[in-house]
Amino acid sequence: MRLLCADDEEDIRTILQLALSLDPELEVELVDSGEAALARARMAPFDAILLDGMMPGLDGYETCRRLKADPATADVPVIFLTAKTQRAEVEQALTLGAVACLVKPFDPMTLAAELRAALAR
Amino acid sequence: MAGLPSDETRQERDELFRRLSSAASEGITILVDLHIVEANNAFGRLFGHALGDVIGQSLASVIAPESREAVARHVASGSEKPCDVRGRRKDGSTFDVEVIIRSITYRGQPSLGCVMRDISERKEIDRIKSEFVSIVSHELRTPLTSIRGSLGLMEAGAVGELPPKARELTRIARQNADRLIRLINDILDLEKIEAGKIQLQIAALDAPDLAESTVDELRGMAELYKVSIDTDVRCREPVAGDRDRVVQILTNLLSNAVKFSPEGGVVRVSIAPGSAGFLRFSVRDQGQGISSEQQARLFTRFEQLEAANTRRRGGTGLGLAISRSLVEQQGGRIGVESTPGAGSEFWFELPLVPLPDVHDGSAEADAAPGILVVEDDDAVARVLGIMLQRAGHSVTRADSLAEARRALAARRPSAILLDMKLPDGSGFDLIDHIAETPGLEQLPVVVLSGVEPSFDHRLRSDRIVEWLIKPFAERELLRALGDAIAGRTDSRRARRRSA
Repeated sequence: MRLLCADDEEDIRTILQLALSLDPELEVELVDSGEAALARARMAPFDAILLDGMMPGLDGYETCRRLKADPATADVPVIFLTAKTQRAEVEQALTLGAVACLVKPFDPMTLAAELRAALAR
Repeated sequence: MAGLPSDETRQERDELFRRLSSAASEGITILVDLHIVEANNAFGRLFGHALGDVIGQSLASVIAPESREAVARHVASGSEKPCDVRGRRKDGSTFDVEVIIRSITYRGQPSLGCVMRDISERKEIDRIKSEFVSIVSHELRTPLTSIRGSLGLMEAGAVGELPPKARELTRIARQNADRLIRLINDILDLEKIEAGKIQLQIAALDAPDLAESTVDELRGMAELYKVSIDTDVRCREPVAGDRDRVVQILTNLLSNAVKFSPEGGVVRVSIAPGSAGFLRFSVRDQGQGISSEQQARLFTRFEQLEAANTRRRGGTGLGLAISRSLVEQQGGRIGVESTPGAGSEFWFELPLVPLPDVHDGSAEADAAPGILVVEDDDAVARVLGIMLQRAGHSVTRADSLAEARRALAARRPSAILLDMKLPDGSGFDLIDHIAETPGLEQLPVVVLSGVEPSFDHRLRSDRIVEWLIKPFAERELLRALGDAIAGRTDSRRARRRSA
């Protein structure tokens, strides 16, 4: 499964890379911004996109809105990975077409399983 | 001796008022036709005017243009609640000001007494507090994500096997990172709850189902502590609450019970009828029990019994304070019964909701009095809805004047419960609308207000059957509505017929 992850924090990208590589069936590509996520998603096919909610420039919400507005990327499931956990923020993400919101801080040992469970739902 | 005051008495009173108002830190003014006729020194200071300059000016001259409409509406509404607006100083700068207005008589003419207070500091504190919460929410979680993630990967051997001592230290660091995360989550949660910022989604809940699923979630933890959990369901009536939040409360009580039970102990979750109209969830443990002095402090922030022991078990000291706030916001109550040495029983009660088929389709349904609740505050409306439904009333809710007018056009209720301060105007606008609308003239209105009715309000009381001051007791509300629907409505009709 090809997974695109966008997070502006380099440390968190490192942890995501390690945590998600524990699942041998996941092929992970990491980018550092919403703009880069949009560009990559348009260029290459992904099975899912994991977005940080708060990023400078295009935040996760706007990135998700644009992904869903583009016929080339509209069908790719989007999952948020966010430090903001208020119900309104989760609802905003789901309204924009995300399939789930995962919470930061996360347990790296179960992240891949949580991701798969969210995609299965 | 009763009677009109003499000139001397009036002069004395005027002098007394001047002396008292000159000592006040708030700006105090008297308005006739919305023009300033009297003002204290603080009023001049507040708006940067010499006292002499301000007399004769209109109220609008000290209000920022963007707030003038709001102030006009507030004055017209007759509301005695404080109103936050932007004030305008002589130099044109603006600031946050709280305005409180009362109808008074000044030298024989109807006037307004007005108290104004600079609330810039309070607003700034609110802003800083919100900003702080936002920073805590995001800026603290982000580095914690890196810390927790790194430690978790190292501890699990994802980057190679660690020597035993390093593995033990990594486990300690990871556990404390987890504790810090729980603490931040709890502080944020409590802040949101106490600031009224959480949006509860109240629905009819299946309590046994909710309890079963919560218990299932905690079975793993119970096994870890070698404790078993059983459930005892003695009532299956639906209860009014927010499912996620009720699960949160029950999880908190249950995880405490598991943590503080001896190995081999049994924790019992019961669902049973509570006080009249309530369902009781209770969690009984076989722990050490809690003395009555300790019980009194249990539901306050950071209150942990035997702190060292609690910390060892990973508590934050906020769980019970959060649970209490959540239960109370859902119209319920929480408590504990315990005897040292004989275990503890923590319980909370939530309001029962009438079964949906009580009135549906029956002749009784047609006779059931429908109440229109006009209230913009979701929490108040929710509590009113629960109280009224429990008494057998069907309820329609409107959160604004516009919505209330639409509801009245669609169906005539038996009575209206009316909040006077609504986002698009005053409750009096609706009372006037009722008076002018054929078929609605006799509709009784029960006012819900934060303040006592003023003289002007009383003048308009012909359509107001009852004026209830918030907070009010359930029985007081139901009695007022009973009067509205039956007794008082009849007597008013009779009065009108004889007029």
